[in-house]
Amino acid sequence: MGKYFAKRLGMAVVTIFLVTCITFLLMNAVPGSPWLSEKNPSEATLAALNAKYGLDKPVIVQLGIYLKNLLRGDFGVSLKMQKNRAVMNIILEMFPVSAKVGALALSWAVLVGVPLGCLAAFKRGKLTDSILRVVCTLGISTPSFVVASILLVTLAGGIASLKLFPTIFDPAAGWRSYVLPCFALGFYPMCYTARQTRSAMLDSLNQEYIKTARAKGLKNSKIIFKHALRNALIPVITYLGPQVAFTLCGGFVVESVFSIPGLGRYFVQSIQNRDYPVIMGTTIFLATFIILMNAVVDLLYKVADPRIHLTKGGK
Amino acid sequence: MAREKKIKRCPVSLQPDIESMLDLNSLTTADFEPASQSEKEDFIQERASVSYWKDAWRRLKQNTVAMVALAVVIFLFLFAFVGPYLMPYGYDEFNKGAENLHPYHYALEDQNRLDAEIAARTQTEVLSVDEMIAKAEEEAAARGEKLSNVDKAKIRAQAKVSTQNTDSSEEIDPEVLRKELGIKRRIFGYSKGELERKAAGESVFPHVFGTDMYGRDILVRVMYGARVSMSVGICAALLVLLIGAVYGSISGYCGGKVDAVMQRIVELIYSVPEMLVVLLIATALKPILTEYVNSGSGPLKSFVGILGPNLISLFIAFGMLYWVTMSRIIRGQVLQLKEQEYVTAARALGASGGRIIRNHLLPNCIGQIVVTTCLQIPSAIFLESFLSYLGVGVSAPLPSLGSMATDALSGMYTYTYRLIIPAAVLSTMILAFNLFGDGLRDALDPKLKK
Repeated sequence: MGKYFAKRLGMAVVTIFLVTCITFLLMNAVPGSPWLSEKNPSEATLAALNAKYGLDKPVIVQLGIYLKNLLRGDFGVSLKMQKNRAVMNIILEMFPVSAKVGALALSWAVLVGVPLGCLAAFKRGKLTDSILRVVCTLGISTPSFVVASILLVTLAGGIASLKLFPTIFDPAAGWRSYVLPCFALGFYPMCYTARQTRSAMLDSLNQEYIKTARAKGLKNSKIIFKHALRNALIPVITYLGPQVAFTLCGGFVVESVFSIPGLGRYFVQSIQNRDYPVIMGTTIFLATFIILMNAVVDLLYKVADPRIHLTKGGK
Repeated sequence: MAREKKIKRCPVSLQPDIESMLDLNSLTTADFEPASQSEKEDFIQERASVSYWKDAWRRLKQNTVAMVALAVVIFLFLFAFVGPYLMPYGYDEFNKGAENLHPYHYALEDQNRLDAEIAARTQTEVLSVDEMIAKAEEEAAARGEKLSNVDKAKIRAQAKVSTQNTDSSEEIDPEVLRKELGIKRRIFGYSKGELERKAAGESVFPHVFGTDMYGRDILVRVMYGARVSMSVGICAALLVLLIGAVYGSISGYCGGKVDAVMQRIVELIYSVPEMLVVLLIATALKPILTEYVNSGSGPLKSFVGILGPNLISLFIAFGMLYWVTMSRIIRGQVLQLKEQEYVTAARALGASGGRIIRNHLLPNCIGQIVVTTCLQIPSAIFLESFLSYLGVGVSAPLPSLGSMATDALSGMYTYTYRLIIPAAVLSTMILAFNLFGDGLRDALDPKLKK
């Protein structure tokens, strides 16, 4: 087990290192500079600015300096968007907002998606199954901005008598402003989870041990939730791991639509503004988070199915 | 002898009496004659062998949902690639006087009736300021006095107040008035100028879906947007197929240390935050490609120029990250297939690794390859629309369904159709590709059917 974790950790470090390098080089390949919107910058001002933030050195040297600072836990300071504020502070301020919306969205996605999938599998071929399949296929074919826009048009003022929710996200306004973003963000994962659960459930419902359970005279609910679902959860967990990281760090699009001051929207803005340290900081943060979630997923496999051995090379 | 062998059967047993069936004595010697030539030929079925593709096509044809999806895909394909040539408008053509048209119009006579009605209702309004002053001057002259500037200012102030009052209280809502007059909407958008031209006998093509704030025809823009989405989807899927097939088959075929290293790389790419990197790659590649196109001419450069640096950077970005799933699937297949006898036979005959992969292994996992490629298309379209929506995808004036939806957000409530139309086309497209891909999977690989 110890060896396994050492290996995982090694892989994680290498991954983060590579992601850092790739992002750094890519980012510098994008033309433009953070100073484009300064008022009439003279050559001297630009040179001074570049020198101050170390942008005058060759890219490789900059990368080296960045990596050295990163080892000390220094993510640098924002160049433009919140000038001279430490990137880590910005991320720590933005992340909870994104995480709250994301966590709510994913919770409803899983809490609705998994039971719906079970239901569809159990009622296979019946009307319920067909309806659920149509809804879920539609759901995985609708980009979240379309869902968000439709919600805005219908429930947030488009139909005058139905202005139930605010258009712009405001945490101070209470639960109402969470409803639409969470729905829009969670709709795709919900449909995807339901589909995955359905097909995995169909698989495990055909297994011999389910027949045994039935022969023993177990209740349907017990067969489904205790015996079949547990085996069907593996593919769902696989999908949800990285999805948790993405959703918690902000649906880029949903945050843009509802003007949520979260990490995803900030990342997109930072690319548009060429705010290099913010781009780097967000990417590394998200990469670390994804790697962490992948590790958690592997541990959860073991919880869901004790027969799985992590250390034996799985294919 | 035979009688002794016979097992005694309990008379009430429900077991079938097989002894009578096994009674060999009833067979005559004629039953043991060798079959004649004609009898042998009867056993050979007169039927052409059904090829893999024919068989798959037959199964696909039975799947109504998949066939409808295929029809929708073909329709959208024609819509995107042939449609624009049939339209008299260009995607970046500003139609003067036809700005902000809804996808419906009112007949010319109805509009005139409405104008007349509005004019009639507003006529009761007070006289204009100058007229009032002139009138007051007349009255003053009649009394033999001259109007002072102070009086004029008083009149002006009064007039101002009264017009303000009429503005707020007597504003006429054309919608309400239309209802009162019984004016009905007619489909398709026409501007007033176009209606007049039409009335004069000219043939004018309607703006079926209306126009945007610059007077650009939305139908044409949706067609071009669908074209962008489809090109990105298909090209990205092909790129994914190419990289994935090569990488996966090499990794699977070589096995051992090569496989281990290659799989570590795949795992690495799996844990990269893909949306972020795609965003970055797309933004980084765009200017590089633009520069490349502008730097001179050549077959490759003109090819890039035709497709547009935007599109190419999008699907390169997609292809560079999304090949991992494809490579995993192909690797898994190759791992199974390479143990088969025909591979050993090919190797014994001295075939090189590349030849075995190309001629023996890949053709045998073609079903999986086709299905995975087909299901990549909708996810590429998905990603393209996201990027365009965020403003880093296709750049203006070339429309994309995603960027059209963003543009529409500002006037969402008044011009809802501008948001709904591209969104609906986008969803339909992705849905059709998804359903068709599912159907294809069931047809090509019946084992996987759920």
